Amino acid sequence: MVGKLLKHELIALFRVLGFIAVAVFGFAVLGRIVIAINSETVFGFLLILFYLFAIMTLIVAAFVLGISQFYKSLFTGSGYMTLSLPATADQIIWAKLLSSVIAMFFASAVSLLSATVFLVGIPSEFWAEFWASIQPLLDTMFSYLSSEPLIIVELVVQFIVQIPFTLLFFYCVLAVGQLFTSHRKPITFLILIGVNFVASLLNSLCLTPIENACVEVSPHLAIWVDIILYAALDVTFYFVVRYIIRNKVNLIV
Amino acid sequence: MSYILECENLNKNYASTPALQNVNLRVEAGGIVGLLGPNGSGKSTLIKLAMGMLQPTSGRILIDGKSPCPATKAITAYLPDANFLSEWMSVDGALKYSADFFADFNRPRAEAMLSRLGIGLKQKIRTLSKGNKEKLGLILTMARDAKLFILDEPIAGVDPAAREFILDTIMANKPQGSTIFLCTHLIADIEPVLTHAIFLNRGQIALDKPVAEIREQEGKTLDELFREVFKW
Repeated sequence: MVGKLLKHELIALFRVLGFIAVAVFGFAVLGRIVIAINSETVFGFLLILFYLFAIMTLIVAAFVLGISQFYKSLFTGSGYMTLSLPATADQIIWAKLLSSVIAMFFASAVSLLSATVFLVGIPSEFWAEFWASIQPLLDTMFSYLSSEPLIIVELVVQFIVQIPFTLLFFYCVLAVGQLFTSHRKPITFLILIGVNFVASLLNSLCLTPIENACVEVSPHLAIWVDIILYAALDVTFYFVVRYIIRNKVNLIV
Repeated sequence: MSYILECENLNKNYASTPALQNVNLRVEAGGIVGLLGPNGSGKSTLIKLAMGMLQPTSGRILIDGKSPCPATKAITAYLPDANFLSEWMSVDGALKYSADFFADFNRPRAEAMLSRLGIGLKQKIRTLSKGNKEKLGLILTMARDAKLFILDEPIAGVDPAAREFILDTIMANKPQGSTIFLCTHLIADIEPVLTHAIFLNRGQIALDKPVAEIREQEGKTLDELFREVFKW
């Protein structure tokens, strides 16, 4: 069932992302051609701007569309269809989460690939200078990682728990917002602002001092504090969303 | 005796406001049941509880002997009183969506009904008129070989010719042995097709009888009785 739900979520997302991705590649190719002919023209400059703008649009769209799709398909008229499917709340949430993550990875991959297209044929002297400038940083990094290989695993785990965090946070805010029967959008916005404010305060007053103290003891400890915190928040947001979808959906159309 | 829908001491409150109060019902499989009542009587609440979209405050509701869950949703075809179709989809996309999730979806039947209405498969749903969107929703629902159909206000807001089409579609596509719940306040239009009537008044069952029995005992049509029971 998650597979079927995921398929239709991806169809809904990629009908828009696909077009933007094509535009990104289009601008990358055009930009590369124009730079090869003559980079110092207004047209060339504009193309580069449009290319960068298209990449930003793609990355933002991947995130925003995922959140918007979550809200529309569960808490508006389409919610009647979604909630009458023979699927559990867990299956629905997982399908939406996975589709949004896939969309964001897609956006990142398209951005990188298009950058490769854009940078094809750049003179080797440029690349030599570029690598020379970042070589010291890379050397320091690799030297540290090879002396502490466990850090790599910990960073991967940290990345994994952080991936769904922002999505689940927004799902949770939207799910709580729809509990209200009137003025939903302003209330949801206020919840978002309020929670962000509280989170910033807690981060400055509690989390950052704790992490700094942990780093003094061991960098591993600081990373694990982060991992545990994000994992706990992921689980909390997930179960709040799950509870609301199972018990408190307020379909007002 | 198999009951397709059962409510046992079912209560549902929204904060401190009771929407359903001590509802006890047993609906036998087969037949066409009218869930009738004025606006705010609790019809939609009862339907949403049956569909698992809400949870009871107390008591329970069973569909084919089970609490609402994916298994009951698999045998229940639900037409809500709202536009539930994704506007960006094509008609063909909507058919594929239903076919993907519901094993009992009968695509040839759906296409035949669409063809009679002159709705093309490639048309985008956003380009359909309001009436045709409603008919498409009905077609997607009635194209299923479900055990239970729940149709929430299927004929409200449409012209008399469209009402006739909708009721004909419902009757013509009702699978043998299935049950249809028609939730409406337009009694006169649906009375000819009903076999059983449930009146809901302010969250409580006011009447729960076969239509033939009502006519015999009360000597009135359902519409007349409704006007009497729900007189302001």
